[in-house]
Amino acid sequence: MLEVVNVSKRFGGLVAVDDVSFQVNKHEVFGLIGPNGSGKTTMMNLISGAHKTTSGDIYFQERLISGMPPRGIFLRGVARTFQLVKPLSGLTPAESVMAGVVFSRNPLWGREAEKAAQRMLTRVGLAGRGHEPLSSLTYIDQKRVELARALISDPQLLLLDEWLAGLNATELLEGIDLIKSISAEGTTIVLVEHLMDAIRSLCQTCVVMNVGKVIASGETDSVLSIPEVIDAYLGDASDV
Amino acid sequence: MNLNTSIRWIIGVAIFVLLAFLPLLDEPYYLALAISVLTYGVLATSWALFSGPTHYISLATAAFYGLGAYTVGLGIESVPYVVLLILATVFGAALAFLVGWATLRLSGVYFVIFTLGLAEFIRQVITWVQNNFTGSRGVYVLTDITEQHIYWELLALAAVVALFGLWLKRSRLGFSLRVIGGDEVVASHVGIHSARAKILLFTFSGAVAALTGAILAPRLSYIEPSMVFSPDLSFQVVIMALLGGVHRLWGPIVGVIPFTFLWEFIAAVAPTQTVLLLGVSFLVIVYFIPNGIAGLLEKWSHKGGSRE
Repeated sequence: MLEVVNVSKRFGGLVAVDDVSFQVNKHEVFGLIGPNGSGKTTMMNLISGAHKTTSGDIYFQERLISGMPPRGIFLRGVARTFQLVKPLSGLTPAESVMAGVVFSRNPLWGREAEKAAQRMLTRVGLAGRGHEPLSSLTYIDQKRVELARALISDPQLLLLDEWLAGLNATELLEGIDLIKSISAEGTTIVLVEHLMDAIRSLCQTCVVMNVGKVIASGETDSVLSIPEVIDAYLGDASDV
Repeated sequence: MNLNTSIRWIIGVAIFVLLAFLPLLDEPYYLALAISVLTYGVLATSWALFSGPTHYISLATAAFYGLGAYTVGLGIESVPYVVLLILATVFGAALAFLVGWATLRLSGVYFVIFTLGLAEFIRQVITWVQNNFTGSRGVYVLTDITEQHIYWELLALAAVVALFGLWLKRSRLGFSLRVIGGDEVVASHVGIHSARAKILLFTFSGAVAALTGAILAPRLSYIEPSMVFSPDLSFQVVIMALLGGVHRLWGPIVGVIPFTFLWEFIAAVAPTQTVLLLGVSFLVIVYFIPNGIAGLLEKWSHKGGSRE
């Protein structure tokens, strides 16, 4: 479904992503993990088109998407959330969610779009709060709005960039269930995450990155027991 | 369309119809004031249609306005006036399209500076051409077009801008501009062609400003670059729109009316201090009423519990 082939990304002298390759199968929940600064978010930005690759190719459904603008990639069925929430100031939460469908592959407008937005808000746990001022929403609620905005376009591939980060224990369980239900409906998901429990319970396969490089990939349970992976994470933990 | 919107439409149409009879009062002073209000009203409203939702501040109003005025000034001897109005609109649209295409991919700050420089650039080019090749600094626009005609033309243009604004508010294009203003990265990730949407609106506001300049040219009777390409005009339009409030279609006009009267007063009392007072009023508005008079009115009506 998604194929990343020898992709590198340089920012000036810094190599953020270094010759990375992996493959995501249809209907899979795929984990992209690694310590801070390992290039996970850059990798997400390369897939969504926010950044251009320096070298290498990315294919989505056998078509080359690296080099396309984000709009073109979105129109092929790839939707995303952002690591740092990007709330749309001046829009209500309902309108923010609507924004995800008005210009999508299967566009809705007016009543239809509003109804769809209300359905999505309900799905992410914000039923009836679509017309509150954006400022009254907590950070977590804004993340929910962002997920609803990604879901409303009915994407084939959903990119979640640390969507679970910052949730409390109860919210985390709800969030994991929500992602499972999205996956059960047939959406392929790539998620960047730090929370090991979440990755264990969600991802069938994963890739571990460290300093821009892939250091391990495969089935989640076996990957997480590789000494090199444990080292990378322990290194990260001692930094904190 | 429910009862409420029907009533609004009737009120809106009634206001325009009533205003159309104003020249019949035969009061030259009030007619002159009304022309000023309409001029700034049209310029500020069309400016806000683009800059309001997107937060891209354009200081190019004078460039388009001057282009329109000069189109009429240079052509009036040989081309029918109506054709010149059309030409001015086309030139304004074409210039705005080019500028938009070249700059709207850049971030906001570069855009502001570029638009400010544009009016100055065109002014210098025309001054240079006139100094070196035509031998006279300005051009005469001598017609038999009266103040009344100019007033009616502006009123018609105001109606067109208002209708376009109403349509825009309900359209996908208008919605996409609000998303762009909210966060441009998100806009590009939800399928919005940001550059296209911005260029379209900027082109519209450029065309309107050029047409306004063309309509007013006969009133000026003598046009020279420092007059019609004055950066003061660009700043005044921004200040009036901000004073009124840019997030509502009727916002800018609410700012234009008091400001035009205030400006008449300042120009009469302290004609040499106008730029200083312009700057001070800008600071006061941005600091104390960032959402404009429209924002204040809405806040008060919400406090009164009459929320729609």
